[in-house]
Amino acid sequence: MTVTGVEIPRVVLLGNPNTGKTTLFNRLCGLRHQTANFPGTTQETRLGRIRGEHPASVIDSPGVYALTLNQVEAEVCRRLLAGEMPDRPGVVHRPDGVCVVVNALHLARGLKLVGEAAAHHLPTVVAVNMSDVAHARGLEIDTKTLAESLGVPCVSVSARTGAGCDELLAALDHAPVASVPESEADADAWAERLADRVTRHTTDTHATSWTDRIDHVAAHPVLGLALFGAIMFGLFWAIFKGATWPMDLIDGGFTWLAGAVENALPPGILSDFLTGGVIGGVGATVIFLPQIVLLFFLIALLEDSGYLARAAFLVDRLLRPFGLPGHAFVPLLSSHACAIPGIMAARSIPDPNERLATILVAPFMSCTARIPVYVLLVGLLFAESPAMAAIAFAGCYVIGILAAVLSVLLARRTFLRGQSRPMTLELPSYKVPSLRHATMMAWHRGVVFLKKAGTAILAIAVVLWWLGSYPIVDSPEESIELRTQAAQIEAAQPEQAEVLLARADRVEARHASASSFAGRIGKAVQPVFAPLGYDWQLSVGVITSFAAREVFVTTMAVITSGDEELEGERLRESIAGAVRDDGVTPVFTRATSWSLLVYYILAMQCLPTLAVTAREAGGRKWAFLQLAWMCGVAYLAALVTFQVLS
Amino acid sequence: MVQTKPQNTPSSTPAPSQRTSLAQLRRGETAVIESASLHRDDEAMLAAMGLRAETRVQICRSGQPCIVRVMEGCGLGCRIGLSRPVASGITVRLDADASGKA
Repeated sequence: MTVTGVEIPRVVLLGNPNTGKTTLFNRLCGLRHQTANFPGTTQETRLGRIRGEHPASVIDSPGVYALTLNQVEAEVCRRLLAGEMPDRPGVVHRPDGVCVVVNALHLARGLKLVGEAAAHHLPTVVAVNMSDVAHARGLEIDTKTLAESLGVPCVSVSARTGAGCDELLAALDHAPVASVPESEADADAWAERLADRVTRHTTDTHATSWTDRIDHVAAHPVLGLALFGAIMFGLFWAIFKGATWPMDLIDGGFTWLAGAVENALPPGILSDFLTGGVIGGVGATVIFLPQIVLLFFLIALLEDSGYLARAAFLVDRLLRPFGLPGHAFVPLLSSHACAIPGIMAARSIPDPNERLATILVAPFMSCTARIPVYVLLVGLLFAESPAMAAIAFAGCYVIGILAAVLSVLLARRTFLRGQSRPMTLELPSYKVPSLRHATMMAWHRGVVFLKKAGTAILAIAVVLWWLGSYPIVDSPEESIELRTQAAQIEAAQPEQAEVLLARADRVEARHASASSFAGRIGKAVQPVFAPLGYDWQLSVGVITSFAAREVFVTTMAVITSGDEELEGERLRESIAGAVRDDGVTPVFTRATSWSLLVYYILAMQCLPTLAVTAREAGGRKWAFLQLAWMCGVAYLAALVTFQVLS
Repeated sequence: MVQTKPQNTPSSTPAPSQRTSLAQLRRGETAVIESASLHRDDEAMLAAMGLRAETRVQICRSGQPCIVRVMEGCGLGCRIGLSRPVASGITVRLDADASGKA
């Protein structure tokens, strides 16, 4: 959908944070909307369309306390009100109106923003949101007097229930320009006087509330951290366990589809392309969708409940010495599932430098794609000692976290310099979160993931499939000889014949892998990896891992056994017994395995993540920096590891 | 500096001993903001959030974070969480009569 601003009125939704502005946007526009960033900013702006009797294009601006503030959110709002269009860089078209969403509970602050917006001389409507909540808590807003004072329509609405939305839409059709004092010095006093005049307290609204009582526990340095730990454990348990069933379903669906296509088409390039490239690539992407949707659904619930703001304060103390704010915790924790949703979750970090730093180091967190590699290598290193294997496995996570915080420390003292701003956050009252709002947020994030990351992932997967599968080469003489021998003894010694055929499969797979473009690249880059102890086979594994890290295990299975379905102990035995071209030297020595493990903990080997970094950080240069830094650190660490241990 | 609010100015100047930083107050105490010594962007943000000179606040929770309830200008007393450096940078005078009553 494109917001034209020409055929139908274009309205900017403006408001303080925590006014329910985005909930109102979702209520007015439904699921059909798109997002856009102004060039050079990472601040997201959502564009939607109201259909029906009062059609309009709606732009949901970032929440701001004042338009005059020196922050990205305020700058984006100023540009929107001036007529810049995030989806059309360079085009300037003044909006046809502005709808200022004010919180009925905190009216004066919202009215000050009305005053600032009025300076833009745009037709204005004031939506007094959360009127139902205010009423329940003993606060009544006289919207009639407010409208008379401002000279613009003021409508009581409840974005959560939809009450008043029809009146708001009707008011948007013929909104006049607001008339308020223009000098900022008068604005505060004017807003507070007006708020006092139109607000009636029916009960003692300053009494200690249950929000204060909950905060005594939720913000407590010890009890709060324990509660936080329990909530985060529950959140990630839900993501890992809750997403298992739909992920299995998706996996099964794509496997069935690939089989159906394979059966329907004759063997050849088209069949290979559709099953291995397209269906395999799409399946590898879509399988993460349940985790992403569930993560954002649960985060939206936590945010809407008011808890997330408290959690940010708790973690702020731990992350601040490294130059990260408390807001960074959820993105970094999410990255342990997958860096892509983690990077997307960094949008909640207000400071641009801190947001960028978080995005750049998020892939250091050990994502689920690394787990198969950790399991394989730790298993090789500590086959006889499960306790040591467990310690080494946990150590992989610790190394990733240390690399992330030390990288942030370095970045914040060099190219991302700037005073680390102490945290100041409004702490909204606790409330029962809206399932509807959380569902819409999760849906939206899911669609964004599929549309944007999905296209990049698919393209990358197809390219890597092609590199790994082509050119198709003739079988080597060794395998032909083995098959001939198997045919000769098949009748008399069927079991021996099967062994020979299995050997022939391995030889062919190894030959095909070595002859593929990826194999040739692996051989070409092998001298680069030689100081780390890797032969061409491991180099191919490292190169193909750029599709997804877990591909390393499959690649090793194919190269060493010719069987990509090999799993568990048989796979470990096959890989442990793999030898180099000299037929004697093991591929996986102790030093090589440690070196590989360190490399996989630290290296950026996920091109889809790089695509998301480029989009979220506001440019490809950040993706290149992430790639270069992570791979550089990984290379050096793996080099030191190998040289010391060998 | 935190922007000055023109109305509600007290008629008498408080004794210096009554002045302290917001971070020193205990839960339930009420105070009036006098000034702030913070980065100008942080001061502007606090002012926009409603924490300006002559604004009365009540401590809902002391420590890290320091949670204050803005008693004026925010309607139903909005709560603002401040990290310790911010709370330490805000000078207040105790509103002895009101403290502990809410």
